Amino acid sequence: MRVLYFVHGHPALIRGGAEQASLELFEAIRDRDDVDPHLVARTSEQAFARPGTPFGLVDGTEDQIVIYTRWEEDDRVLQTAGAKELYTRHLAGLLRDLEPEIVHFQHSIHIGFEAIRLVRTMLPDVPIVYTLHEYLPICHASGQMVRTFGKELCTHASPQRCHECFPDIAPARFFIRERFIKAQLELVDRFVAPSRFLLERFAEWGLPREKLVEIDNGRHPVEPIPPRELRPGEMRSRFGFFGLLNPFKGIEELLEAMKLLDEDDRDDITLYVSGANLDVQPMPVRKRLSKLLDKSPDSVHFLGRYDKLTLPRRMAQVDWVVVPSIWWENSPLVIHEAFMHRRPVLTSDIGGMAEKVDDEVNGLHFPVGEPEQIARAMLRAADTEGLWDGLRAGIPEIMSSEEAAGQHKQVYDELLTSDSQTPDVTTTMSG
Amino acid sequence: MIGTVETVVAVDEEGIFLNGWASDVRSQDRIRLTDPTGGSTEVELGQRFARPDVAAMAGTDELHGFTALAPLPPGPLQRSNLRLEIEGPAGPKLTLEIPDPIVDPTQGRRHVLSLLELIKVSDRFMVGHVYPAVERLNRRIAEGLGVKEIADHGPVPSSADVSIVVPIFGRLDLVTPQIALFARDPEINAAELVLVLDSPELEDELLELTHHLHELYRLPMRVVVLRRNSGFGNSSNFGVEHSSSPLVLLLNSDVFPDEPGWLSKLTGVYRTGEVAAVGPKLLFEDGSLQHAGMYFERDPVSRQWQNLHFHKGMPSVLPAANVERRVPALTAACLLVGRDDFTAIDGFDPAYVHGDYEDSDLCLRLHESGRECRYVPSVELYHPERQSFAESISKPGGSGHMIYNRWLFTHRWGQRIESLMEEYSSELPLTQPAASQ
Repeated sequence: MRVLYFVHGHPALIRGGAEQASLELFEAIRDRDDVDPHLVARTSEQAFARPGTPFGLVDGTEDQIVIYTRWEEDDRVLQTAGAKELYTRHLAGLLRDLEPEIVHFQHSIHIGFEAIRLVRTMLPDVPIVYTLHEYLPICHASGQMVRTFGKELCTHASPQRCHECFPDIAPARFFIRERFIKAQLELVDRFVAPSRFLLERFAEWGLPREKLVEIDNGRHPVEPIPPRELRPGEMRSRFGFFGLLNPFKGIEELLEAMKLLDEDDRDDITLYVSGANLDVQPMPVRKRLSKLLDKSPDSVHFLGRYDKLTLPRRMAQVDWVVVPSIWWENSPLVIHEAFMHRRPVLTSDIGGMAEKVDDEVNGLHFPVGEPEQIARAMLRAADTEGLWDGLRAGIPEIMSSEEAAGQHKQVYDELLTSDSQTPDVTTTMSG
Repeated sequence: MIGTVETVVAVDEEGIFLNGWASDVRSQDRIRLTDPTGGSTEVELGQRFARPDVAAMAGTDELHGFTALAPLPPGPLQRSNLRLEIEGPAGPKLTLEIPDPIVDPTQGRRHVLSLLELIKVSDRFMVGHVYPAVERLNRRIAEGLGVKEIADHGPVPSSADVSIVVPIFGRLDLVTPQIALFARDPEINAAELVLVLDSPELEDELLELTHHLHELYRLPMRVVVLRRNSGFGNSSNFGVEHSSSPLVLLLNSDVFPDEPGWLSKLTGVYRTGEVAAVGPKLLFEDGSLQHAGMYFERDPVSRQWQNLHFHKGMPSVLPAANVERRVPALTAACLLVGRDDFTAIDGFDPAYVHGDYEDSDLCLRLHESGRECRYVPSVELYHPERQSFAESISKPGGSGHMIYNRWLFTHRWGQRIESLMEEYSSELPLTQPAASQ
């Protein structure tokens, strides 16, 4: 079975959870003997700006193709390429060359929703699968569903609400955006939602429930790092933050919490921050975060970026992992990573985080965005005898990428054997 | 006595439209346009108007500004050394040099209409000066109009039920989403879709876009590129001319269908009987009513009739807005008419400038056939905002072309509207006593 994956980035070229999850699924699918997959990953890396073709290969591979797209002048609101030969020449050529039997979009940002239309037009009988990694089809604010003013969580999109977030874009434009994107998404045969929360949100938005299937991201198995050895009388008081350093990940709130703990003379509670991508944040964010990091108490240790090799060492230093994101999240990779190394997780009580971490079973929830509450949860975690062991015992097995690949293969098989994979053009989505 | 002729528009071989200012011009003064060969014509000034700048300089508060559509002594369109001579009962008072005229008729028309933003219009002035000047300029403009190029993408159905005519006014960003939504509907795929480009400078860009969109969506379409900016009425007329189906749907490029199947519902109503035109319910992006039929109301200041939409901004479920019925007029944003009816009355009247009131005018002319304009609320489309052609109502009294269109519309239809609106008086927000003007 020839499966073609579209991904918005390749971990060899850019960091990101969805990119990593997509690659691990691809690798696990490739290990099967009944699937012959290709991966097409979008890049903005100038080295791939070659005359005559947007395509190239990820170093050392022959099944992982990169596609260079420029997105500056293109229509960001509608998420489609302004220069449409991206579809009608380049991607059309790729589809002809690779003759996929299944096309699976892991994402379409910087490739554009009209790529779905191209597949449907050229390959009317080929099932299309689309994995929803965040809320981009719904939300123009990078799909985060956080209002652009303040940090208020957003519950639903509407032309008026979106215009409030982007005063320069008329409400009418957001109306057109939703209609346009839905007109492309209705050509998809199956949507994969890595969390129940995200699935429900897209169902509310109007994606047909019968097309939505929940499959969590699988992970390549790892050898769990043993628990940190305690000195006599020492508590489980070391916490880790892993993730991108952007405001949505809640690092500011977490550092505020550390300041509060320090003011209470609890410098025995320590935080190890492993973070990347601070350098690509907008200047005001970078300034704000750098200042916070500089001014943070001695109990905060900034370790810089991490990768597959350094992650186990970083995990070995901590007892708990804190996931304080102030956006809804989907199925955060860092929760998987913590659980695979058997570290209980303290996390915000919303969205995909609240779903993937069971409060009082394998971690603790705190009210989202509240430094005092984060501090209180950390205190309780550090000071409560036996809590760590109890929560650690409640940590579930994380699905392997091999198993996730199996579940995906099952979806592909179902779509190929059912007669109804080509949607009737009159099948519509509610608005 | 002092003065100057500031701007001159070459209307045609027989006349110029001029404006300027002068102190101390009296009604008994004789005014003549002369050329160096000795030719001369009598000039009747149009409406005088206030020029605060001149009044401040001259220290008097008389109306210094003047305008006139002046007949030319025989000769070519462009000429120099013309003079405007003002002579009082006691002899010559002032001779003014006539500057070089604006020759381009579109620029000339724009200048004439811009004066309406300064001058309170009177029928005498409009009938005697502005209307004939604009009509004659329109004739010259029309000579430059026409179709530059026709491009078909795919086999455009030649025996379709409906031709859908969509004028495009520079907003190419609306084309992709509209095509994407059209493509969902088998009825649109079977229709004869005609896009009319009013901006020839965008020809290459649009044709490249529509080429790719056809590849992507496989929706057949015809693109008619006009030789120059032609306005809404002319563009629609050219689109109709280059289509062939028995029914014509006039559609703005910012009208978006909700669900497939709406076109056959509209044609179904059209075929039920004594109907000259049908139009659907149009909604703003928030679901409120943008259009549920149009009616006419006098502007309280100018006493001119203006277009208004029934229940605009109200919830679309409003019972009164959900009655299928005859209405005074329908918007051309989405209007289904019979081709024969449309062509029998020569389509939109190009006398209206740019895109305003020609839909009301068309509906009233269709009314004359004795058949009605029918509002069909069971069909809903979205018309998020009026963004498909340039809108310039930044000035308090409206822009010049809107003032002109409104005057022309009132001049032509005032009496007819008066009696028509009596039938609807009970449902208007404030029932006004019939105006006595």
